[in-house]
Amino acid sequence: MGIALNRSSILILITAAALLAPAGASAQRRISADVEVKQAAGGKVATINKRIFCSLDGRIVVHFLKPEDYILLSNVKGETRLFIPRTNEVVIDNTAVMTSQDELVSVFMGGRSEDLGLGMYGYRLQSTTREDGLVKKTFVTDKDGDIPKVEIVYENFLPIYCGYIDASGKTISKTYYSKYVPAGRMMLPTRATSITYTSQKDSSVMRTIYSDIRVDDDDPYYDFQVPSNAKVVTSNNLSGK
Amino acid sequence: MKRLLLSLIAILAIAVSANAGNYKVDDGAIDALIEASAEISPLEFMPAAAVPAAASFASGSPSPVVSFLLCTFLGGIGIHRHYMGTRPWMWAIYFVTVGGIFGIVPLVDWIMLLIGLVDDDISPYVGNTRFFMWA
Repeated sequence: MGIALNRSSILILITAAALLAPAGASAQRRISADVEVKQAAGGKVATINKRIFCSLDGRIVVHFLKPEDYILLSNVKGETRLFIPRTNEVVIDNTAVMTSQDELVSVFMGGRSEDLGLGMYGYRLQSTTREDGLVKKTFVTDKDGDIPKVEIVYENFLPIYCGYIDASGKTISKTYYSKYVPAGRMMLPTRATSITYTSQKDSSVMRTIYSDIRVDDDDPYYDFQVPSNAKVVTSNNLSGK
Repeated sequence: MKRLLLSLIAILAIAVSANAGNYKVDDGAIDALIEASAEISPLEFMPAAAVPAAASFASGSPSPVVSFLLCTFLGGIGIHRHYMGTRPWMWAIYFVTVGGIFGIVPLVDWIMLLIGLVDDDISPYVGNTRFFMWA
């Protein structure tokens, strides 16, 4: 009797899980957020503001608000269009897909937070080590011209640091991820700070802050379409000068 | 002068924190550095007709030194590309990457421009409309 009850319980649990899993998966189909990026160097700082709209199917809409009003649309097929409302022009580019899929929210939403999207660039995991309670993974690539080694450090399974190491073994850029918040079923960093070291004296700092994160909201920008009367400025694939 | 002093203090604080062997940065120092900096518009660097940009500059052709420095300090937002000449909206493409893999493209740009600086030749990148200027 006891065994039969356990089997029943297991069957009920499996059935419940099967029923609930699709509902859970479909519960988080869209995420939008305000993004403020400030890059500072030499006593100057430049700011760009945008709002991003990421869908689970890979469609991304980026509404640039500052310094100029642009709307960039991208999907996983590699189709990227940039709409310029001021002039009602659209630029078509089929080469920038990797960049749009690089958007932090898209990386986390797509389950690529483990390597922060490095795999898309041909990086492979070389080693995993533990250091002061943190996990450090080292990724490498053999492609010429790229950064040969990248280290990602995790705390509680979340990336908190990414270091780019040049061929001489020197870390030339560091990015720190912090202030994680729950966004639906995942955790998102709301702050990323990149420091690029160009010499012992000089560095450039880029701070990215995510705010007003909304899950499964109904903002019409998710489905933004370029007006049919927009003038196509460039229809080539930017394969040459 | 006060701003400069604050900037130096903040940069020193960032450097100390970043070299402390941990993997966390002092957010307060970063915020202080940014607040102490003078706001500029990225558009100040961008010629209206950006291809080829070389014609927009009185000096004739973009300087390898200036290109390298712009990539060094404002590479994350693609300013160096606009200085050297590219599509007017290239900054937007660069800015999509901000937040993702975070600047690996500007970093490779930086390395290639450093090589160009040493060779005194950045001609392959002048007026280049490709997103990956080195590809």
